[in-house]
Amino acid sequence: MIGATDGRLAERQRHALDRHLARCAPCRAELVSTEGVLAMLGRLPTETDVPARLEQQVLRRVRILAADEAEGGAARRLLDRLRLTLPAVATGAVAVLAVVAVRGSISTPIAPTPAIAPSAAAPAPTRVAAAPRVAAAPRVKTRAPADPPPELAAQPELFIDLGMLRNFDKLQHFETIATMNPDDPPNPSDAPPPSNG
Amino acid sequence: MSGPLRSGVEGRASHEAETRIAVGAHGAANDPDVALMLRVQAGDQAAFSELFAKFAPRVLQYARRMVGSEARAEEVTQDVFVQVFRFRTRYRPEARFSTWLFTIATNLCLNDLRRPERQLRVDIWERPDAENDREGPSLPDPDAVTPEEGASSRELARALESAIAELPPKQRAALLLSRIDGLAYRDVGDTLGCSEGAVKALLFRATHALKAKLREHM
Repeated sequence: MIGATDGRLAERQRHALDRHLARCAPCRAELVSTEGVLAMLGRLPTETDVPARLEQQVLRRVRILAADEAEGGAARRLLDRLRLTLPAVATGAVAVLAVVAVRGSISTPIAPTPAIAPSAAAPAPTRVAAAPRVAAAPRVKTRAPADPPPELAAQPELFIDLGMLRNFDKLQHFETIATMNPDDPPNPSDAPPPSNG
Repeated sequence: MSGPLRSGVEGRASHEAETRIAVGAHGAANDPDVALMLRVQAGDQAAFSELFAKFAPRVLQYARRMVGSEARAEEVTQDVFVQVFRFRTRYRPEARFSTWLFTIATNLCLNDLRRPERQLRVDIWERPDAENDREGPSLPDPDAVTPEEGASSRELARALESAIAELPPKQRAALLLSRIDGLAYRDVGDTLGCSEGAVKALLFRATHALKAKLREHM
């Protein structure tokens, strides 16, 4: 019925409906009332007066919005650029880390090869795959030398001027106190130095 | 052929459909609304003012009928045009500008109707009879020449507006967009996010409800 009042029915449908309406009083009445309602709707005003303040408010908000966009434009362009470059930077950083990690694992001594420098031992990546890390030689803990290197030993004045070394005796004394057990019998060699008074 | 269909109301929808075809045939450049909107897209605020002047009276009237409150209708209209400007780059000239505009307006109206504080505000600040106290719009009936007929016409218009206000929101939107603002069924479907068939069903139910409410006036 709605389609009929719009004139949207196909020719064949219109003929069929007309034939039906010619012999059906209730449907004729229905169509007439539908047309009446639609005619009333069609006469309702589609527009209304817009208060001046409404227009002013809208235009003010739009001006603010445009200004914000203009201000935010530069920042947004920078962010866009960052958004484009950050993944590249991140990818590069991951690549660098991966290279460092790979090189680190390669330079770790795999078999006891003391005579070969690490750089000389590095070239064969297949060697890394062939030799599992469990087969690597245990690392030998190198101890600090008891004596200074000869070049430093030749210049003892470098040490003598150090204030810490000047008070080395006192430091040893404090270390003794810190490690002393009060239950131990007193050791005469641990006796405190005589006081000045 | 001079059957009953020939004497039917020539709906605005069919006119709108013809206009739509014309837009499609001649391209968006020939549609002045689309051209205006394209200027707005380019940042032309004068074009936006023109657009507002042209469409605000329709949008405000539509919002008044949808939300049923003058103050809320003004707020919704304001939001509609601010959103038009804010999202201007999303508009595609392939679509009719009025369809896009009324999609925004309908969404904002339906959102407003769903707001939980709405009922409270209506109860507190608005007298239910306030709208009825006003004279209301009169139907420009050329046959109403006597004062009695004029009064009857006004009464009928009030009854019709009241009946429209009592429709469920989606039926109301479909009816207003199709029968008063003259959008084609397809455009109404785009606006409401439903099929053309669903629009016809909404219109059928809305018209049926209006007929039932206006029976005594007809």
